[in-house]
Amino acid sequence: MRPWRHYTLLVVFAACVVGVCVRVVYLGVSDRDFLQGQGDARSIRKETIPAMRGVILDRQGEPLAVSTPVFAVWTDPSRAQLGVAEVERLASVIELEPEALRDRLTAAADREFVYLKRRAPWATAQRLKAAKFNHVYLQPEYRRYYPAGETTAHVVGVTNIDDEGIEGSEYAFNRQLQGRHGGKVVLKDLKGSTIRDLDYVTAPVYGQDLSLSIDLRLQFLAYRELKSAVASHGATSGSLVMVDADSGQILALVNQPSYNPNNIPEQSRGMRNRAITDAYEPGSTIKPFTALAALESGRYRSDTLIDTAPGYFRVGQKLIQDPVNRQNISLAESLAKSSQVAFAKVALDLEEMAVFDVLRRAGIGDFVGIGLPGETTGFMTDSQLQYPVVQASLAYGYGLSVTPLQLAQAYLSLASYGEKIPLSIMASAPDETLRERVFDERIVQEVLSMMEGVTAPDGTAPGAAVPGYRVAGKTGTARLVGPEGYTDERHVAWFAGLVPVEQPRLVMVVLINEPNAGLSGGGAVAAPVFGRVAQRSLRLLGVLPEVQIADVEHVESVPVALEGRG
Amino acid sequence: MRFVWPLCLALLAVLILTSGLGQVEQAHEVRALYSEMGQLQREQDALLEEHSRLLLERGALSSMQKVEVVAQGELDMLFPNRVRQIQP
Repeated sequence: MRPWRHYTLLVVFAACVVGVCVRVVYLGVSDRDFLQGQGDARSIRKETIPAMRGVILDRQGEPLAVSTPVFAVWTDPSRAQLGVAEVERLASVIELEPEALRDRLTAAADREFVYLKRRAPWATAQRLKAAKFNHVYLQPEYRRYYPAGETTAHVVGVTNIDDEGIEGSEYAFNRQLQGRHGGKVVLKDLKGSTIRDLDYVTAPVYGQDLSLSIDLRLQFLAYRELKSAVASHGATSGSLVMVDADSGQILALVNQPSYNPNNIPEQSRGMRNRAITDAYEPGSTIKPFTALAALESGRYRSDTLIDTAPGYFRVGQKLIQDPVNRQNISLAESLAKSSQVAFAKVALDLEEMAVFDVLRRAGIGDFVGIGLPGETTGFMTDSQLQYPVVQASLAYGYGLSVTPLQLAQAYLSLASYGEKIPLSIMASAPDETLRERVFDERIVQEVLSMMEGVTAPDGTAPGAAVPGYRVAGKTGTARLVGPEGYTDERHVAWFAGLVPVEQPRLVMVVLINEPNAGLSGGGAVAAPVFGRVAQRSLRLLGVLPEVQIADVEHVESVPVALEGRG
Repeated sequence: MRFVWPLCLALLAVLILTSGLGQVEQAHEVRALYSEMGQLQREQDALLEEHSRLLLERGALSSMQKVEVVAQGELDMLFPNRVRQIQP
């Protein structure tokens, strides 16, 4: 009996020893990777080191969007188990309502990650670090500030909570601005605090700065004038585009309504960059191009007389009329007084494609392509030009639609005396080789001198005149299409122009949508905005006056002896 | 021949000791550099924060709004209503 029990016990013990050995080998050799992985998964964490977003600057180097380091506060509610007193203490440190914090924690009680606060400023983070809460972590991130606020909102755009551009330049040039996140590997203890950094995997690559062609001073001026015009005329919206006539760079691009990019929730109405996304019928602002087409035909000069009597003119079913019978007027006068009849007659007298072709060369109907999101091309087609009604209405700006940006592009080709210069939103010098001559210089010169009549005291837009400078421009008033066709009470008021005529520096397009306070036309509503903005912009840019102002004082220059020098 | 083996062993022992000490030294250095990097990163963050704050402050002070308020409110400046052109 005895040996049997003895041996059994021995065998059992031996089996145990062998079993343990096998298990050890098994765990240590074949399961090693799995177990090591599980261990690491509980203590080793990969953390991203966020890259700072580049600064967006204006052409003078003024900041338009700046990132500043802040912190996201997060916790693991399944482990943190904060008591009532601790929740209250935490709430006071991170400046939240204790109830709100408690609700957030209970709602996420079974989760392992919940943000308690985003974009906590530097000082808060330091206080939180000092307070030492278990399982409450700080994660560096960046918050974006827009010092110019609503003034530059549409051009600059905004980023979302994760620091990615979602609108404007922030979106369009996100890749350049964003940089690349870095990463590091850290070892954490049971309480979740970092014991040490194990590996610095990649350093973050900070985003590059972006310089826009916008001039913040002009942008501010334009924004303020547009805002007050939209408010005082009870208009629904408005846009203004100002372009440097030498380079094609956009100096100001503003819209109303706008929004505060520093605080975006609950507002979304003002976020559309209307100057590039919304196309309207340009109305009479197209007439300078019709005049240009007439001059190109060689059969018209600025003093060619056009018989507009009896003040109306029937084309097919459509009655085109002027407010008064102007009898025989020259082409220049037709432009200054904006006669529909004269331009309809001129257009029908020209080749079928003549006006369309001129508009095409000026860039109407083409994508401008400055790179901002949402840009549209408007609408222009030659498919129905064989109908006289269509041909005539094109001549005074109906039957096509353009965005303020496109109209600025078209007027830029006049300001450059016939060269098409691509518009650009970047401060870097534009590519000179992309310039293209589209109109004859002398013809454009003649058109410009005709357009000067518009801002003369007896023209349609004396409000756009700037004392000391010659302004060439054109008003436009286009009726809006309602459910029953064109409406009489809803319309858009345009003014497009350039200044000074001799050596143009600025091209500007103003659009006021649905003004309703008494005055309505482009001359009364949009032109004064042009005049005021142009006057102050020219002064800021230091452009010398080209014409002498009426009361000039002649002062003998007296040599001044400089004393106390040397 | 009698001394060859002990010599080899002694040499190996010395080498092992040196490499061990070297490793300790290296680990220490890595840690020191790491903490220095952490320190520098915090410093960089603080400087970046200050830089962006100053940038914003400069922007606010040099903005057209501010200049106009100061010019009109504090310095009693006006836009000229009557333009006089002076010819030398």
